[in-house]
Amino acid sequence: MGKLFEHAPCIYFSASDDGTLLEVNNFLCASLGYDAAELTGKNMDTILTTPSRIFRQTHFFPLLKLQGFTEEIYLTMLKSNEEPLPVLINAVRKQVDDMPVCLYTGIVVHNRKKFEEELISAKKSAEAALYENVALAEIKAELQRHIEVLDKQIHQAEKQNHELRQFNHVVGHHLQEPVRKLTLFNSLLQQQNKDADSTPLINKIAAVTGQMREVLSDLQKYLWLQETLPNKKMIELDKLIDGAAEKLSSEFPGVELHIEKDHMPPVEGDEEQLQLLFYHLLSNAVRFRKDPVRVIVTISVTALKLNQFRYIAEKYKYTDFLRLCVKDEGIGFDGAFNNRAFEIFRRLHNESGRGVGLTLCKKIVDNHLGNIKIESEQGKGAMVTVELPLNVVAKNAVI
Amino acid sequence: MERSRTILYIEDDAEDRELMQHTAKQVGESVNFVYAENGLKALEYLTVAKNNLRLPCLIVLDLNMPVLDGKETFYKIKNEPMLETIPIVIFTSSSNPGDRSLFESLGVGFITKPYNLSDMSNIVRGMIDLCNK
Repeated sequence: MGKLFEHAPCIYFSASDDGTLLEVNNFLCASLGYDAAELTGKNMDTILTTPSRIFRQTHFFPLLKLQGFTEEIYLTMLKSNEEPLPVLINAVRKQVDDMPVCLYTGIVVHNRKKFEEELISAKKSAEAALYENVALAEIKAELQRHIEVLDKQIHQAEKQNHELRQFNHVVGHHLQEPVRKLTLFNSLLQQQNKDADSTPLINKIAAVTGQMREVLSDLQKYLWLQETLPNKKMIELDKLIDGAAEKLSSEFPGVELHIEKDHMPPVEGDEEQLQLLFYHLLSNAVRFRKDPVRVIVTISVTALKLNQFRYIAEKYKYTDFLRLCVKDEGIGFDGAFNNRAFEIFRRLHNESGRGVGLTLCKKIVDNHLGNIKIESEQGKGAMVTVELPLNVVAKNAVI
Repeated sequence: MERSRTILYIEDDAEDRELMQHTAKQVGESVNFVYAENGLKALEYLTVAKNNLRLPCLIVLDLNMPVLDGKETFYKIKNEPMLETIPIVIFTSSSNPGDRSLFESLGVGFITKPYNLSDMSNIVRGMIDLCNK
């Protein structure tokens, strides 16, 4: 029996309680790369890695001593060439010739570690998936909340749009029509009037109805901007600004308008609306000029990244914007009105203007999801800063 | 059928009819203006005129009207044998671009009501010219 154990395809060795190896079989010697003579009489710690050695001394042997046997103990043995050899050991402690002897058998388990690692990795993946699932559920719940808020807002916006369309119709037809008829009947009165005393009064009616027409026309433009979605395409700003400048030159023939501008990259926008924007910006510079015959406007351009979320807190998505600074050297206005300049019919000067131009500018910039602000000081000109989002095509342009 | 030198102005607004009357008088009454205050009354007039073989030389049509509006009136006239050949111009205060493009695509003149008398006179002269063709 003893001889056969020498050749059995499993690890077999015996040792005394102090760990001295008494017998070793061929399989163990071959597995570790030793001769039997090299091992017999040595302490079994010499064929264990340091962690396994500690484990044997603190857990394995005390347990074996306590209960007389142990099963399936995982140890790492140390080969003669210092390579580790994972093994699974069963042991019994017996009295042989009145001496306690520990008998060990075991098998080599090369793949156990790999399986364990795979198990740990699978467990980690499962935990990560669970965590992601929780995060996903939170995002889903947040999305649901946003959808509900959005639905309420769409409902509100639809209602307001409907009312606005009705209001627009009132301005467009029911108010314009009486003003038109008033103008025509008053003209007939002017033609037929033979009483010189009434003439100044009739002329005043004509002037006031004229003002009313202009106010209504401004309101209509404002409502048009409110109702109409921008028809977006790529716009050459250079051409647009030149066009607006030409229009102003014909309206103010005695004034030389000089525009110093950087090269303008194309932006995505509504041509008609952006033309109106630059017309009003330049028109303000011309109308509120200091020099009666010469106006200098500087337009500088910078590209920058801005958060495209404008209302929702703690949400960030930085996208490319174009910042245009339109600066004049005109009479300016009191800086206290910087924040109120965009209110409709807010007049900042007595000289001219109905207080609609900047309101229309703000509406146009809002329609393009951009930002606008104005800074001025009495007598020191004004600077309007417009920030417009660039689209993919435009952002490749060289600035 | 021979047409009379009569322009039918279909207009619900009394002031607008009065303004037309004034202007026609100023321009010189080389044509006769008759007025209908909505589409239905205009069709009644046209039926009688057709029976009397005295159709107008031009129809001037407002768009925003009660009972039978301008567009409906237009299609009714254009679907009526003998009436379909009478030239029509739209004379409206509507600035609806959809209305304008619809009538222009049908080859129908679309005139916006003016704000001054000289424009009004020119428009009436143009209408009389159409009648003379």
